[in-house]
Order: sequence, then structure tokens, then C-alpha cells
Amino acid sequence: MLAMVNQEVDSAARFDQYVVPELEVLYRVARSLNRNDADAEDLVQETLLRAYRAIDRFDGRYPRAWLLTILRNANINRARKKQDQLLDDPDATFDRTEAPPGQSSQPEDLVVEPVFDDVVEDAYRALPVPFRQVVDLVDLNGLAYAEAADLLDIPVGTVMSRLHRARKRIREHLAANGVSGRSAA
Amino acid sequence: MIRWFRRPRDLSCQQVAELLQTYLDAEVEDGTAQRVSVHLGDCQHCGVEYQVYEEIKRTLVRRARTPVDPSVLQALRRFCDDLSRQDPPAAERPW
Repeated sequence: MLAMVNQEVDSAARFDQYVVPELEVLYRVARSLNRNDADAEDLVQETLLRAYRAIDRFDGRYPRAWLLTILRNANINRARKKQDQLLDDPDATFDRTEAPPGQSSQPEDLVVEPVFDDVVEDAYRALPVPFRQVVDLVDLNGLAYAEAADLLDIPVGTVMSRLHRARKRIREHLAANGVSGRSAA
Repeated sequence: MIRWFRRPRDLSCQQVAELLQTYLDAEVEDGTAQRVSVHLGDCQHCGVEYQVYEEIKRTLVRRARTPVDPSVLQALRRFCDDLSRQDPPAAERPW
């Protein structure tokens, strides 16, 4: 009985040591993978649950990578159960969604040079979801190509292709709005 | 020494264009990265292209620094505490 109590205390301590420090990263990544905050939170909770059950088997090395693998599996599981459109090949559909050129531009705005950041923001928001996900994971969350590929369960080549095409679109949007370099804000 | 011909080691603008973003993400292996770096130093066109992509990436990274809602993190920490204190109510989970 005492041995069992010690085991539980030990698990709790290990959970505290390895998992709790990664909460913010997990949530940010979950948000990159989901359309809304509630789903992101659900995904993190499921990840925490699975991590807690597996903490005794965890060897203590690279907790973030370990947790992101659990998160990936939890995400795939959710997608399967919800029959999300994530299962469809997004590469077949995104070319249809053309970024609307500077929706926010009123005639008076054309007189003033648009600010670099705003134009990037516009272009970013107009990105199709599969592109935006990869931008979120690599640029916003600082993941490596291989980590993003693993998380999304797609080849590294696809990560690169989507990311580079996404940035190219942003680049083209900048050019279309007459913004070259960064304007002095 | 004036270089009239491109040495085999030098990269072309087209090669650099294909590597540019991968180089920006520090995902190019060292030897090739060095060659890209040299080309960007020598070539104004590619240098400017690189700066634009660098600025795009910087803008996106800045966007990421928007802080996470503290109440969400608090709720997740409470969830962790609950897990530690008792056996997770597995039956209640929908999945």
C-alpha cells in the first residue's frame, strides 16, 4: 500500500517536473492545429491525460518532443472520430481560394502607403488553412520542418512546399500593394 | 583576382532562389548554407529578395508573441493538479 502511494507521489512529481512547464507550448501548438480555442483546450487536456498515464514509462529525455508526439496522436484520433476535413487531401482544394486583394483598402488608403505589417497580416489571414497551419507551426511556434511534419503527419516535403508557397503569396501580396521594404513606422 | 567564369562551387541565382527560404529557416546543411551566404553577399538581387523574406518571417514571429490568455493557462494548470490528485475520471471522457 505504501509502495503504491509512493508511486503515485512519484508520478505526480514527474508530471510536475516534465509536463507542466510545457503547458504554454502545448496550447500554442494546439491552437495552430485547431480552428477555435475550445477545441485547442480540449486537445491539450486529452494530451495531458495521456501523458499522465504514460509518465512512468517516460525516460525523462526531451519532454517537449515526447509531449508533442502524444499531442499529435491525440489530434489524429480526434480528427478520425470527428471525421474532420483534415482527412481529405487539402492540397487539392486550396488553390481555389485566391487571396482577395487588399480587402481593407478604401480609396483614401491608397494615398497613404500601406504599412508592411498590416499587409503581411492581411495576406496571412487570407491563407488557406493548410498553409496557415504550417506557417503557425514553423514561424509562430518555432518548430523545425521535421517536427511540423511529424505533428501534421505529412511528409517534410509537403511542409516545405506549403510554407514556401504561403510566404510567396505574402510576398506577392506585398508587391501587389506597392510595399517593397519595410516602411518607417 | 577577377572571376570571369563562375567557379563550380558558386551557386546560381536560380539555385539560390530555390534554397532561399530553407536557408532562412536554418534548415540547409552547413556547406550549402555557406555557399548561399556568399552568393547573398555578392548578388544584390538575391540579397534584396532574401531581406524581404526575412522581414516577412520577422513580422510573423512578432505576431506570435501575442500572449496566451492567462485564464486558459490557469485552467490547464488546475487540470494538471486534478490529474495528480486523483485517478483521472476516464469514463467521463468522450474519447
